[in-house]
Amino acid sequence: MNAQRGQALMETILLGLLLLVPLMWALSVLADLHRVSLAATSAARDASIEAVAARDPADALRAMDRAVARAFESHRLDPRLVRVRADMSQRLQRGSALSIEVTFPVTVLQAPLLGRVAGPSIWVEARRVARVPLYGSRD
Amino acid sequence: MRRTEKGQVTVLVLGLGLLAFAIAGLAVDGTRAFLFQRTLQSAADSASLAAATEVDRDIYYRSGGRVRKIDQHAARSAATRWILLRGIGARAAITVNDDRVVVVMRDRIPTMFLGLVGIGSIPVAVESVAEPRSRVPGG
Repeated sequence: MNAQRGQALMETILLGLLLLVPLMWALSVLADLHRVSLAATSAARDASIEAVAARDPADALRAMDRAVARAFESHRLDPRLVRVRADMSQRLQRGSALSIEVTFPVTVLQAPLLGRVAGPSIWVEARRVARVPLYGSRD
Repeated sequence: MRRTEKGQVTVLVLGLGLLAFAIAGLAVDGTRAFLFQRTLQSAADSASLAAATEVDRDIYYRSGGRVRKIDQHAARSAATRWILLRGIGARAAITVNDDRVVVVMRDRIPTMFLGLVGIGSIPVAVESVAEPRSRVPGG
């Protein structure tokens, strides 16, 4: 029995440090991934809807930026961190494809109450390929 | 401590450790499946929306914009093209009626942790329905 003194305490500390702390950290990162994924897919969808109704590519880019910023702000995420890439090689011809890619970093190292800490990030990507309407007016 | 209780704490700690591992595994694989489902849904939505714009122009103009019958061949081609543009290797079923397009996409995402308990992949399926609309009053 003497040999087992303090064993429970040591095992509890080990369990807490080696399992529960990483588990809590992993769950918080996964929750952030969910939130960013929802924001990114919403942003890509909204941006594509706005862009295909734009008069010209420059107008489409402005509309996309506005839509993406709105979507991320509504999810309480900083829109300055978003990267938007659009492929309008067919210059918004009727029936043509317009591709939008929205990426946002999720910081892996996060401290409770402090949030993001410098370190590696997982980039969450959302892509949408939309069709420019065949008949709709561009007003 | 009685002789029969020797090692009981170790078993408890091991059990808790396995439970924590299982929760983490479920969370990770669940998140991956959720993110993949969002990607598939976005692709299916793009395809169904692109297809639903393919209305039969003769019927549309003859009726003054009141009858919107989908050109089934063109709609099917458009949906297929948009799925290919998105570059996802999922199985897709496209159903086109006179007034609606239904795109169903299915795939399986391989698991990371659940593979340890014999679940090698998670099935993901999405459905998107689109109908043509007109801005013509009464259309």
